[in-house]
Amino acid sequence: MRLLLFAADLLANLLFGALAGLAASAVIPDGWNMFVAMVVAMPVGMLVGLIGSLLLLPLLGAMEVMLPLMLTGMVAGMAVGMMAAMHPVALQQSLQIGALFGLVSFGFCFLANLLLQGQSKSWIN
Amino acid sequence: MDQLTASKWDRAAKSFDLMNGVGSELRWGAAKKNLFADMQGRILFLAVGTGLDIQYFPPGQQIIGIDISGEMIARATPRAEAYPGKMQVTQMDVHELPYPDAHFDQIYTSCTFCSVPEPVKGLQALHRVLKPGGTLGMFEHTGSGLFPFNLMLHLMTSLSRALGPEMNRPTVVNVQQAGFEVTSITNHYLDVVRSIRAVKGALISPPQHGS
Repeated sequence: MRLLLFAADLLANLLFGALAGLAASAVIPDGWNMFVAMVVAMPVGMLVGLIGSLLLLPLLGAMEVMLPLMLTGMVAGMAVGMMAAMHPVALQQSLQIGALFGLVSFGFCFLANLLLQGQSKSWIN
Repeated sequence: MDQLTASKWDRAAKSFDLMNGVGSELRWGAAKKNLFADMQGRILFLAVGTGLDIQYFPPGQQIIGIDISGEMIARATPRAEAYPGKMQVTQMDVHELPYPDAHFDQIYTSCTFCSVPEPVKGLQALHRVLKPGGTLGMFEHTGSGLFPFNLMLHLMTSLSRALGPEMNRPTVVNVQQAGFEVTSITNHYLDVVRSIRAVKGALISPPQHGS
C-alpha cells in the first residue's frame, strides 16, 4: 500500500505540475516584466495545485496531498510564468517544465518527510 | 452551544466520510491505532465526528464520545453501538463540559483542535475534567515550523477556515498554555501530522519548542 501511495503521489505531482505550467504559460504574455510574471503566475499555479488537492483528497488523504501539490503549483507556475515572460513557450514545453518542477517538489517533500517522520521528542521515559 | 461552529460541522457531516473515509484512513489509521492502544479507565473522546476513529479503539473500554455537531453524532451513533465495549456518543460543546473536575482518566482527540474556535480555552476545559496524572492523547495536524510548508498552511487556512479546519494552529504550544505537560510528540507527516501525548500534573517541564 505504501508503494501504491508513493506512486500515486508522484503521478499527482507530475500531472498537476504540468497543468500548473500550462496555466501559467496561458496567463502570462510574452514581454511582461519577469518579477510581475512570477508574482502573477505563482497564485495561478497554486490554484491549480489546490484544485488538484481537492480532487485527490478523498482517495489520497489530506496533508500528504495538499502540501506537495500546492508547492508544485507554486514553483511550476513561477518557473513557467517567468519563462513565458521572456519568450513564447510552446504547449509541450510548458507541460514538460511544469512536470519537471512537480518532480522536484515531490522529491523535496519526500526527503523532508524522511528526515522528520517518526522524529519523536520525549521528555519522560 | 456555539451554534455557528455546530452548523458549520453539520454541513460538513454530509460529505465527511467521502472526504476522510479512505485516503486519510489509509495514511493515518496505523498511527491512530497506536495512539489509542493506550486507552484505559474512564475515557473522554473529543470530536468523535462520524465515528471513523472508533474502528481503532481497543475493545472493552468505557468511552464517552462528544461532538459539537448533531449531524456528526447521528452518523457516529451506529458505529458507537457496534463498538465492542461501552461507548456513548453525545452532542456537546467542549467549552461547556458538564462533567465534574477530575472526572476522566484519559482524554483523546483526533483532528480536533484545528477546529475548536478557542483552542486554549477548549484545552483548559479538558484539563479541568482530567484527573491529576491523567493523560491527554492527541492525533492532530498542526502548523509547521518549516518554510515553505508554513507559508502553504497559512495560505490554505484563509480558505479552509470558512469550511471547517484551520491548518496553521500551534497546537503543541496551546497544549502547554492550557496547563498540560507534553510528554512526547511523534511526527507522522513532516512536522504537521503528529501524535501528541501530554499529562496533567507536575512531572518534568518540557523544553519550549515549535508548533
